[in-house]
Amino acid sequence: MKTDFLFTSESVTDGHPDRLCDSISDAVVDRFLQKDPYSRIVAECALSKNVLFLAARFSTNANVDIPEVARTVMSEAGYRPQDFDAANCSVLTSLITMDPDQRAQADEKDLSPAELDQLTVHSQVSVFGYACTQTPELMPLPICLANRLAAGLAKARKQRPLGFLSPDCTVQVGVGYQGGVPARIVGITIIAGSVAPKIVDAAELRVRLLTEVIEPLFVEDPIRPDDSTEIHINPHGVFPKSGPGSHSGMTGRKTAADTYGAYARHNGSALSGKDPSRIDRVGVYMARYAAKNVVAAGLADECEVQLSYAIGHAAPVSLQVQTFGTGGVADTVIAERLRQCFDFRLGAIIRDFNLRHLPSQHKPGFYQQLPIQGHLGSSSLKLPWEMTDRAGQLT
Amino acid sequence: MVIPALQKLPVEVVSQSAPGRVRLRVMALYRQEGFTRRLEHAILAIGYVESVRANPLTGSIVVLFDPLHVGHGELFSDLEPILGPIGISTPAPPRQTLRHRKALPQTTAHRSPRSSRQRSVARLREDVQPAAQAPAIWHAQTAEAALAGLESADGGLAQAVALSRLEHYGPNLLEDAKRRSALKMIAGQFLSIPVGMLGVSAAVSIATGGVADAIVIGGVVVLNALIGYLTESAAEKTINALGNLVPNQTTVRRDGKTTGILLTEVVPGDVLVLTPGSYVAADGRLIAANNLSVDESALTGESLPVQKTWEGTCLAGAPLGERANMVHMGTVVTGGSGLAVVTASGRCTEIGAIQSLVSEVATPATPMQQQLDHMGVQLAVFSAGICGLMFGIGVLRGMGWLQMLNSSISLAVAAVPEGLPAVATTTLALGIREMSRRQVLIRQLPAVESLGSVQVLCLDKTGTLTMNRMKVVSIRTDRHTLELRDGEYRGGDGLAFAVAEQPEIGRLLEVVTLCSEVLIDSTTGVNGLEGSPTECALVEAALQGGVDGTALRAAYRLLTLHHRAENRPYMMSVHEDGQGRYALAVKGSPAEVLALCSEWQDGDRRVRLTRKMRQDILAANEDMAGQALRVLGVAHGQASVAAIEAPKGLIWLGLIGMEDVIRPGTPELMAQFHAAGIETVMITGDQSATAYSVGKRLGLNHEKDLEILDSVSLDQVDPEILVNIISDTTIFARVSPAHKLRIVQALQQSGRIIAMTGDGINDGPALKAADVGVAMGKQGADVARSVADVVLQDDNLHTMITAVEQGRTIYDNIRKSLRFLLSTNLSEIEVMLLTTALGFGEALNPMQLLWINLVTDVFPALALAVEPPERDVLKRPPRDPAQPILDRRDTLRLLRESSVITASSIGVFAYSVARYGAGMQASTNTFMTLTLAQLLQAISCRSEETTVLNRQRPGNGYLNLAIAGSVGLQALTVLLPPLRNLLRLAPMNILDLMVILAGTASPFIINEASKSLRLTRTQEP
Repeated sequence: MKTDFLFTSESVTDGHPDRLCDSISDAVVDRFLQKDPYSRIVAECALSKNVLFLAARFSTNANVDIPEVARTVMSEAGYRPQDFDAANCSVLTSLITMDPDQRAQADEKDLSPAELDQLTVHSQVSVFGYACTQTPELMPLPICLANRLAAGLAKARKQRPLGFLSPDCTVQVGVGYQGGVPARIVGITIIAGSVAPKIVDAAELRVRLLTEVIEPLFVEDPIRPDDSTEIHINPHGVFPKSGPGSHSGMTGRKTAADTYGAYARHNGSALSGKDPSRIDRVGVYMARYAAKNVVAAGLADECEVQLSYAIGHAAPVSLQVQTFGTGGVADTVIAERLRQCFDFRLGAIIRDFNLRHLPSQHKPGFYQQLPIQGHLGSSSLKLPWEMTDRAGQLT
Repeated sequence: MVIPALQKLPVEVVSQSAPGRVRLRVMALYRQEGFTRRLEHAILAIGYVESVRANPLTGSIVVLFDPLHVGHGELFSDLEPILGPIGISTPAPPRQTLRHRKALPQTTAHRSPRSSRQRSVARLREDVQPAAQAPAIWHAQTAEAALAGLESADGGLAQAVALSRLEHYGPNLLEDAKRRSALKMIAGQFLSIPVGMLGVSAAVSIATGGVADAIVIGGVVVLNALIGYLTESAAEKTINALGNLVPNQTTVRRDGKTTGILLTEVVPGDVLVLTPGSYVAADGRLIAANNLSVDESALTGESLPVQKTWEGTCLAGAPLGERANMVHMGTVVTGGSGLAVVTASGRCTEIGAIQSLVSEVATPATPMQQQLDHMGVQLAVFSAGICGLMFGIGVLRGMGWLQMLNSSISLAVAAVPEGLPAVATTTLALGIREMSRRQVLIRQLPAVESLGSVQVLCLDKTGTLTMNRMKVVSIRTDRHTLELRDGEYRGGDGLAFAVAEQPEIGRLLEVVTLCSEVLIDSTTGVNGLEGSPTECALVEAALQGGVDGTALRAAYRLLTLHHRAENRPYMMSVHEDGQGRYALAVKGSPAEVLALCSEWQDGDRRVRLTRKMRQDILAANEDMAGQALRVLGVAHGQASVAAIEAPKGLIWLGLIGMEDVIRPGTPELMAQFHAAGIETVMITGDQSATAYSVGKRLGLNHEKDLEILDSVSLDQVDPEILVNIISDTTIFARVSPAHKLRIVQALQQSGRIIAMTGDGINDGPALKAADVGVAMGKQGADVARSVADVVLQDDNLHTMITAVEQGRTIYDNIRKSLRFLLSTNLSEIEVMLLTTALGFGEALNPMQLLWINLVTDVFPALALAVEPPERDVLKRPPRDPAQPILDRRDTLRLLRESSVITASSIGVFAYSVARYGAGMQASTNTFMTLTLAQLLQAISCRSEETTVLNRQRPGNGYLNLAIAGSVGLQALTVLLPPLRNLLRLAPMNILDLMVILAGTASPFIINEASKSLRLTRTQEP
């Protein structure tokens, strides 16, 4: 096993077209669940120039003005109308309406264990959950830093010290590992367009990004950029245009940043735009929950949980645990304890995480915040699958 | 009227090479209608002049005189007292310089200096007070100069002046397009290849001593021509009547007052009042314009409206389309308003000039007619080849070449389906008449055909799918959710609700009453409201809620009204409350109005709007929109100044939701279109959710997924992308009317035939661009009707399905006639060719061939043109317009059917030859068989989908009549001895008759049986 290596992870800010598509898809999910918690909804988008294509398949009792939802999200991204006009762009919706009978029949909270067994999954999928001790959130350090930097850039733009930044920035962080443990930050690359290129020159932009975004983020961190950290700002020069006007986006193309920054396995399917009855979304959350509790319980420094679901089954047909040699107990033992302490059935996941009702409890929407705040390892949202409440039971 | 510099206009000789003929160009003549006639009289008065033709459009005079008595010189000296000095043309001035007065003197050589005699042109003009419409370049002059030049004023002409001008200039009429004269049409009948061949045939007959034959041939020619003329003239009358839909009233200023006058009474100097939708009555120079845009497509072909301005001047040489300060007769105002002083009327307008230059308006041939013409030529060549072949074989077989020539020519005449063009024209004309009986007015001939192949129907939601009437159904404020049903307000609990007790709801109703242009008549109340559907619905709700509209408006005097506009998604009115303060009333798009608010009305209190409140309001808006309601946000406010452009800090009142009523029976109608393979597309300005709900209720998407394109700025989408993304789109939401054109064009680019309904002013360009533009007859704007191909006179979309049915039936029927004509003519060729080739001599003599041609060709084919529609005509997909009228399969079937008829005729011929030997008896039997078998084939051609045994198919009385008549004529050939002798028929015995009947019936039975077989085969798998 490698012990000394460099690993990089990438992330994007909220105005990136891919992110925007994720946000729109999840905002649609939110709006459907707010109006009818038993809705089934799948929403996917593609965004190019001033055309948004939005395909949605749903079974619901609610009425949702989908283009309006999309416009709201797009206008919140903060583009200037001359760069991207959210209010006036064209939204092409392709809607497939399913019979309202295909909605969820009852609240999972009211179902008996036997009834939960009847609630089988509709997709065949192997999902992975991962946790490690590299950060307090128990996430791999590179993606954690990349997401934080992206969030920092967005914050600096919205709160105006760097109001000229484009909503569409990308960030890459390279972390050097020694003995399998993060040792230092080797490099940071930021592609940060500015809405009006003439406001700041490259040198000033670099200084301001360093002092106003990067440095404040690392104040409390044990590992922070040092003198030998290479920091590149727009190494290819500032792009004259950014956002949907210059490159297109699609739902589900930032799954690496959504999960572990490619540090750990992810099956590749999109998380956004799916209602809670989709196991390929909620299974990822559940697997993370399990893995995080294993690490939090001190059973291992690093843990990957694999859940394989098959159509027609409520519970995973396979549960595997791998601790990469960091486990205090055997992987099989951990797997057994997980089976006993966690209910991996689809209905139980929805019930335990309260997935149907979270959108109503968060007024601006719940799922809509995930693409920006992070589906996994978010420190700002109290996500149910980020709790370590079961750690005690595992020891 | 001042005619600047007219006296200086020269006269020049254009051509004097022919003795006794002189052509002069008289500049003074150009566009001088009245002067022209006087001039002609004056010149005719010269003794030796035989005729004079003066053309005011080209400014030329042709004088014919007796060359024996006088030479050119003498003529010129006699003309000079009338015309003034005559110059000899140096290189003829290019045509367009006619419009540039300044350029003219240099191109002309004056022969003699001015003398008193030479002033006579001017004198003559003064005598007649000429109807001078001077060729002034009005677009190069300022508005003031134009007004002065035309001796008019902002307030228009005085009525008396206008009347006297009307006398001079004549009525403002365009010359009727010259029709083809009856003589020309009859002559056209004789100038065809078949007639020419018949002439040769007659000559050959005379050469061989058959004078009677020649006479008969002459008779056939005359008869054919007569039938051709009658059908063609009837059809042309119908077709030429298309497209005459010009309004007869127009608005002008006279004596300073705006008044409506007849279109024909407009004279130069009149001031036209231009408003959206008005038809420009004459050419004019703009003297005022506010955002004026004009659809000039009738004149320039430019499909997008052109912006006009009164300021500035154009270059003298500016082409018609670039004269931004001119409006032209025949165009239509699409937006804005303006005033224009008339510079030319009637024939002197630009469109009049164009029309006069086209010497004759030929009926335009539709694509199908062109295809038929093409096919006719091919068939003629084909049959000529066959006849040549027959001639060759006959001569080789040792028959007399003269006789063979005669037979070949007769065969050629019989084989060419000369009835074809007449059948097509007649079918189209009858179809147009039938449609007009069913309230479908066809304005463009090709539309008849396109109607049959329409693949996508774009529908305006408002007025077409819905009733163009709105109703308020719910009101939501923070505290209350009200429903309005049958004029009564009910609360969320379903109980009656006292609106008056709730200040914020009362206030909301007052605001919508103030912020509207609805005319309220206090005596008639709710029923007497006049205004837009939305505003009427709002005021109606307010009155029902107890608001006294008249008193309220009196208390709050309206100061200014800011309309909803491109960058202002709300409407705002500013009022003075009687105490020197200003009140604002605002209604509009909920999100936008909410953004203007900082507080909301809670009873009598005002409370700051929180972020959560805003979200709740927007959620409520979405919820209402989701119920297919048109939702408006309502707010009010106060201001210290009256001049407010962008209001801020308004007080939010609530949401008001309206519904438009779907026309009864529309969902079923959509299903009918879908069954006919026509996709329905809805275009609406509504929000997506409203559109979605209406679309769902109407079943617009049929079995497809419902795709909605929501865009207020289609013009910003790359056209190529647009083409691709809209290929399956069912609903276009939030589309402004101006973008309909983009939608139509994009749909067309995807290769489909588009029909589009519209009735508004803005719909003009899209209607024109669509393959079939459909306008509503009653409620539609003039412009919509004037560019549409089809007008539904009863404003009922259900009529559209009738139109489609008729369009398809017309095409079907032309195919049926074609099938009949071709299969029967082919059988004649085949019989003649085979019998000649086999050496049995001629089966039919030339007279018999001509008879067959006369009896079987025209009448049954014409009768097939009025076949009733096929039962499945609205159950099958539209025809592919690229598909030829006869494809390979059709051709094969034609060959098969004709060969069956041929086989049976040859069978009868063979039997007769075997029994009687080649000669008169065999020929008689064959003649009878072939003629009757062809008539039965007409019955078989009635339908490709049903056999003669089908009882459900409605009958065709005309066909029965045609067949009965033809059989009767055929009987006469036996019963009338002279006719019998002419056709050289022998008497038949019972056995012959039996054989003939068998030979007649068997091809019919075989062809019907094979049709039945084919039908069961296609149905089974």
